[in-house]
Amino acid sequence: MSESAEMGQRFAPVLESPLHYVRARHRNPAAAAVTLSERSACILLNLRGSPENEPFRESVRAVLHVELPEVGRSADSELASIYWLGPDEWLAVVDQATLAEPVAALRGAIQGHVSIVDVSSAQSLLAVQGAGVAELLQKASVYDFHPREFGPGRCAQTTFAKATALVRCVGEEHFELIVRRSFIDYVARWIVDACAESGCHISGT
Amino acid sequence: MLQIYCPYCQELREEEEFSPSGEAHIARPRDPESLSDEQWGDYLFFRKNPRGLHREMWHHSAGCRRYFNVERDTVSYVIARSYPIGEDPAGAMVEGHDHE
Ligand SMILES: [Zn+2]
Repeated sequence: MSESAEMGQRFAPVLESPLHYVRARHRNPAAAAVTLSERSACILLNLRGSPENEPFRESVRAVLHVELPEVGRSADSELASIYWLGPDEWLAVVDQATLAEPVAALRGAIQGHVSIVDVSSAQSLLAVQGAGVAELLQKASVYDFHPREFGPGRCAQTTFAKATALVRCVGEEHFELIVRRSFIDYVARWIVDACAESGCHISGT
Repeated sequence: MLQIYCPYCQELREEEEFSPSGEAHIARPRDPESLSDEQWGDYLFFRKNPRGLHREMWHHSAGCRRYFNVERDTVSYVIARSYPIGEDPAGAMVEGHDHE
């Protein structure tokens, strides 16, 4: 065997979940008040452009079938979810199975002063669900996630444990966290610890 | 802890999400090479540090990651208002900040 083939075999790249090292030790579906899961196989895009740029809004609508949301809100279509990040910045989460090449599609449709950057490998998407979620969020963040202020369709970037996260309310006792990939292992361990009394189950393989 | 209104996120947020960035409305000299060392030193290093009303920049570092201006009393810590970068204290847009 040649040296390079041997190297290739020894270092065959494997896509490893950022929850790989924490998941196996926290399987407890029956007794858990919080279930943590990872949404894999999605493409995350950072979109920047002026909200007054009508062709930009129109192209996003045409390609992703969803309107750029207003301040502090998210919006969904069958193809994508879009989150407001700043006055000229949004995050689009696209399911790889429904739209394989969103960057090319958007770049093809949008002309002018905009930026479309694939940040899939920088961030990962976690879902937290269950009766213990409200208490978990209170422990994790300085932000007020009470349903009276932060119902479905709201999103906010804030502190989470000693990291930061983009948090979105999906429904009752169901939130999504978008966290930098290198912080996922830490955040997952922090969540398990914060749920010590109520129990935390990490789903997936 | 302060609660600071971010003019971009349009809500009050905890101080923990922000980092202070010093005095606001310091215009960079248009032609630095024509300045004396003293004038350049003033621009780079010297700040008013007033007792009372202070206009300062804050960065919403854990939130929308934008800079904005705050009017804060340095004695009572009361924040009178927040306003976006590019606006002068009277609320008018500053030349060269038309976001294009
Ligand atoms: Zn903000």
